[in-house]
Amino acid sequence: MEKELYRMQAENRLCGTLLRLGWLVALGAFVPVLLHGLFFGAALGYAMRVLILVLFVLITFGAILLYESFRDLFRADGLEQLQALADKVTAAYQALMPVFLVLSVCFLALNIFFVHKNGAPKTGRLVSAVLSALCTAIAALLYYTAVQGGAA
Amino acid sequence: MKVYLINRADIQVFCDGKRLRINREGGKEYVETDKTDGQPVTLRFLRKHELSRPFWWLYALLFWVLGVMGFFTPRYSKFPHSLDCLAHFTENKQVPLQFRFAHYLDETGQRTVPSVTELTGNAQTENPRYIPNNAAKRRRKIYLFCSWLGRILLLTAIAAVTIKIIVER
Repeated sequence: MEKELYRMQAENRLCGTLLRLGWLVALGAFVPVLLHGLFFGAALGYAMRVLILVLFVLITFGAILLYESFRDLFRADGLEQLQALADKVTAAYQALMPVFLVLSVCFLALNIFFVHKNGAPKTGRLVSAVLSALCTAIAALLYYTAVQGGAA
Repeated sequence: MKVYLINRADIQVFCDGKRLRINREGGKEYVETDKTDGQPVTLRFLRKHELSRPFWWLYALLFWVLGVMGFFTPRYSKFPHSLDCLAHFTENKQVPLQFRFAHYLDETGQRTVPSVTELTGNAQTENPRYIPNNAAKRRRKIYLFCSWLGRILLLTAIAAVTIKIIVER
């Protein structure tokens, strides 16, 4: 009986670990999307900054443009760096995304198998496992749509 | 016959050496025995801490590695004590049986409330109290210490290797 108890505890722990790793994979799959979101936010911030700078130029009738330090404020080096980083990450995910998808499906299958085998009421755990796999699938869908859109 | 288990937590129920499947009905957990009316039944309520097993260090190490330095594996229970209680009753489908579990250890020996009590129905319980398990308590502390030490050492090593690679470039 003790043996069975220990075996069940190990299976429960394995399920819990796989569930957490499933969410880690889901988060990892969303990195390119998050990075593009960050780039979009940065671009929006840059646009706001340019708008304010243009207002300054208008207020001073262009005289402020004589200052080089002011003209430097129009540069968008950070934005270009972020774009380059996003492109690099997107390229790396060509290899990583299938791995994430396979891992996510494996974790979900193992969770369902062990929950069914244990016979314990673990609806919450199953829902969480399905949600994590769904998140990974959505991230993959967004990624491949964006990649295909970019290629076209 | 349905035997309802209130506040069960991680206690498992065995009957004739077999673990009974825990079901849920209206927010209440229950087990079903496969005996006929009038038959005597003995249920065994068993609870042992995960780290009380033999080769506990191997088990903990395995899940520490699998759970990425233990960050992604469930935490071990802070309650280390064991329960091994027997409940004897006669199968009677007309009278539902309800057990309530309390999870504390009477370290003082002053309190009289047992950890397993029958709320409804008629049953005799044997050893309805938690047994102190100081070995599991000690092992959990060792695990926590080693886990944090391992994390610090491993992260320091990773940082050192990364810095070395960057500098050499």
